Amino acid sequence: MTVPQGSGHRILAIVRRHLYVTIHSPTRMIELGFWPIIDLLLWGMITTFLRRSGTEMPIPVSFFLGAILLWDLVFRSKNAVALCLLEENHSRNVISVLASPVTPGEYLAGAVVFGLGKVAVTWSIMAALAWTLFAFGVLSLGPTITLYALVLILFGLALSLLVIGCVLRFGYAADELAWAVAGLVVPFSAVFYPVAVLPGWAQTIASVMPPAHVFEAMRANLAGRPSAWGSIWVALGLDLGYLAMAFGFARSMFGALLRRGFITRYM
Amino acid sequence: MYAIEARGLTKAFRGTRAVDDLDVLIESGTVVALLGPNGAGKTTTLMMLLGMTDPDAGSIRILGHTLPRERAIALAKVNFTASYVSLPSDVRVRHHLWVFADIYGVSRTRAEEVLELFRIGHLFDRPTAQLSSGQRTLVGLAKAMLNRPRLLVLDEPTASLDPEVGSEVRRILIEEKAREGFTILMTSHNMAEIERLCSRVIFLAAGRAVADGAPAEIAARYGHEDLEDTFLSIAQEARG
Repeated sequence: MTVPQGSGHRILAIVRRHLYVTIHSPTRMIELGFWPIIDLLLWGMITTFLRRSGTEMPIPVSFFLGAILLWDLVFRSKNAVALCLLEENHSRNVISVLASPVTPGEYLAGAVVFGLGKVAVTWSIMAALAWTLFAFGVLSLGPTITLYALVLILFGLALSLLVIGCVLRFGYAADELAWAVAGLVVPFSAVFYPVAVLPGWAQTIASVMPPAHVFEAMRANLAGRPSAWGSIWVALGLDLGYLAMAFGFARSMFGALLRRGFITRYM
Repeated sequence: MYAIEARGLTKAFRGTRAVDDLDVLIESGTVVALLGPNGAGKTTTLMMLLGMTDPDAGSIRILGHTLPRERAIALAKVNFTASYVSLPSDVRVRHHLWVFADIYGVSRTRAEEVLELFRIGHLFDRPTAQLSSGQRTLVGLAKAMLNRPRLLVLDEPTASLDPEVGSEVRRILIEEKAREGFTILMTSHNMAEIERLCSRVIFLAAGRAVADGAPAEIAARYGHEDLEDTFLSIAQEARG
């Protein structure tokens, strides 16, 4: 596949397009920080309560803060990218973009760059607050935090491609999916509880969920046990498989949009 | 040389042919209208010519570039606006135009030039949410001139404009076309606009070209003096 000349400036143009919308919209700025902060405060308070009540917990209560911080990487990376397309959808700008020389690949690259930048900002705010308010440092997870983050972000990107594919195929009707899809995978991702508490059939599903491997490893880390490297590599492999499948799905849905004339949905 | 060379275009939706073995051959530097009643296949044809809908059959070359293989290269020299295209909310007009200036790789100062061209330089810093529908249409037209297109595709470009502004837009398009020598392919339900702007019209009915020629020539062929009555005759004929 040949890369059209000037891809770089078109990718940057897409990044700027979403940056302008974000920084000029108070509601979007709130979305950038409000919910993550609320989540963090909520779980931080629960952690503090459990710590002060002297409950005999089999695991350190810092698990909750680590869990919410890491889960946010999945949720934010999924949202940040998928919402770029939904933004075009809502502002009836899809046709203007498609009638320009921007290719779907360039648009996606721009949305990923913008989305990951947004994730970095939100996550930095959350990590700083966790440290300031609850004395929980993400770096206490050790250097493996980088791998955990990579696995979770890649999974979030795979989910975003799934959402994008559905929006291309079903139009506005699929908007709700952008929010619902994370809810579908969270019970099997063992974010706040170990995989062992799930029923057998759910444990089977959890075994193919990359986040479940990460959260099991994180709990082992925080409990002072050695990192389960093998499990993390499995998660990374699963991620790459899901990314390839989700990319194929989104690409085929874009093909269906061109073939079946779904562009009229954006008029 | 043809700006648009599309042959045998065919597109069916759920078994109904929206466009049926249509040839669209448009010479560079001309202003051509695609006309026809609702559902005649005009917008489907435009969408295929812009690479936004794949034809079931047929071939398309835009400014010498074959679609879909050279779509990005072709679209860098083309621009498009329509009455149904809106503007992103929560940005200012300048941001919208800067993004497209960056996409087309032209200087951002061009954004001010194109706004001035349509006498709306005062909207440069205005939030898009505060624009009237007519102002949005004018900003859309300004966006369409950003890259000094070799081919300008307009789908009912003046539908939301009052007669005075519509007339001003037509004058600007004629002047710019004379200066830059680009090709215009447009659709409109305003027959007076078509008579003023276009040297050639292609009437579509049920996805097929039923008349093709200069506006006066086609009107005469149907025994009318203007396109308005000609349009009605062709629409009635198409309904059988």
